[in-house]
Formats: sequence, C-alpha cells, structure tokens
Amino acid sequence: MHPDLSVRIRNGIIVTSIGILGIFCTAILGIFYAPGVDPMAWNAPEAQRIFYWHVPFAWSSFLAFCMLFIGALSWYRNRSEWGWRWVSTGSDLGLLFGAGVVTSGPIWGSVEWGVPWDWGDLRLNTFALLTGVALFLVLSRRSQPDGQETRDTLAAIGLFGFALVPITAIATTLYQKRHPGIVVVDGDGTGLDPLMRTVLMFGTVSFMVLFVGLSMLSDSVLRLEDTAEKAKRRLD
Amino acid sequence: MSGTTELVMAYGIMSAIIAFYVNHLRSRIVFLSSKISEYSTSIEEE
Repeated sequence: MHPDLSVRIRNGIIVTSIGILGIFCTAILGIFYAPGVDPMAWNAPEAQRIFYWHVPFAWSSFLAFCMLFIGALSWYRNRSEWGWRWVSTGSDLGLLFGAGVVTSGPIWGSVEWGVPWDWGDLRLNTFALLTGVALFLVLSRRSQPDGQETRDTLAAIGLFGFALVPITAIATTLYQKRHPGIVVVDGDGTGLDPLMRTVLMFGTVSFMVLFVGLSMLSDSVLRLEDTAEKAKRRLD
Repeated sequence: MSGTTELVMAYGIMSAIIAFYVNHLRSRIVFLSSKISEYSTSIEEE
C-alpha cells in the first residue's frame, strides 16, 4: 500500500475515534445532565432527549448532501476523480445520517404526537425523499458497472436531488406544520435553555468531527479500490 | 408515558447505524489491503 494512503487511513481512524467518543459523551450528557422539558407541556418529556443526536444527525446529512452536490458539479466540469469520490462519499454519508433521522424521528413522533409520520408535513416528506435519493445512489453504485455513463447518470440524480435541501430548509421556517421549528435561534416561542444549547453544540461539533473522520476513511476505501483495480489489470 | 423506552430505542438504532458503517469501512480496508498485497506479490514474482 502507498505510504500516503496508510497515513490517511491512520488519521481517519484517529479522527473517527475522537468523533465517536464525542457523540457518546453527548448522549450521556443529553440523557443524564441536560435539563428536561416541562412535563406538562410535552406528552413524552424524556423522549425529547433524542434530539441531542437527532438534530446533529440531520445537520450532518445536509453537509453530506452538500458534499454530494459539489462532487457532482466537479465531475461534470472536469470529470475529476476527486469529484466522483465526493459523490460516492456524500451519498454514503447522506444515507447514513438520513437513515438515522428518518428512524429516530418517527420513534419520537409516535410517542409525542401519537403518530410516527405526518404525510401533510412538507419538511418530513422532502427529507425522506432526500434520504431516498441517497439510498438510490448507493444501491445504483453497487449494482451498476462503473463507467462514465453510470457516473454521469448518478451525478445528475445527485445534482437534482440536492434541490430538495433548500426546500427542506425553507420548510423548516415557512411551512412549519407539525415538526418543531428552529430552536437554536431565540425568537417568539422558540429558543433553548443555555445548558441544552451547550450540550447540543457539543454534540454538533462531535458529529462534525465524526463526519470528517468517516469522509477520510470512505475516501481512502475508494482510493484503495482504485489501486486494487489497477493492480489487478496490470496482473491480467 | 415519559418516552424512556423510545429514548433508548432511538439512541440504540442510531448507534447501530453508525457501528454498521464503521464496521463496513473497516472490513473494506482490511479486504482491499490484503488484495493489494496479494497482487503486488504476484506482480513481483512475474
């Protein structure tokens, strides 16, 4: 293996480990340290503590979709290998974090709202669709032969799928129906207790570190696949 | 109904998703590294 790649993998493992440590500290702080919500105002006050992971999961998924979008643009402009690696990593991480959001959300919704999903809420549905796009890209990459046509098609789907990101973000404020609105910014009827905000911000930073670590490892796997493919062709 | 069961369930599922992906990356790195070593040895022998 190329020495640069070994260093990259080692750094990826270190950053990922720090991120994992951080997110587990966040879970412990969120469950045992952060103050609870008013039990009279919420149907399931303890379940609200899900949000210390649920929210950073959602933000990380948006970051992954941005990565996918930038990668797809770069692939179209220059047919760059790094662009394609960003498409691959962005779709993998978009699916990973999106799946976390669309599973933890309904668990909370079922106990707080009485229903796991609200088909009338634009934000829930556009986010589920976004995760569906990531799932489609991941499955297509694994099932289709790798080549320029496949990459062109999947990068185009990634570009159009990204349009759902601003729609979901705008729906957070303009089309707020059932899902809670923005809580980080203080406003009328919104805002967070300072301790809650501190735990949430610590969780967000930890998830960003985990995101960087996983991106480094995923990028290394793609480089290894390329090296193995070239070595195999040389042998043949 | 305070939602403690749901809290544990949600954190459990999200942890499992992360663990699955980390393990997937680990196994791919191990598999591909051994394949590259195998190919390199074969190329050197030729």
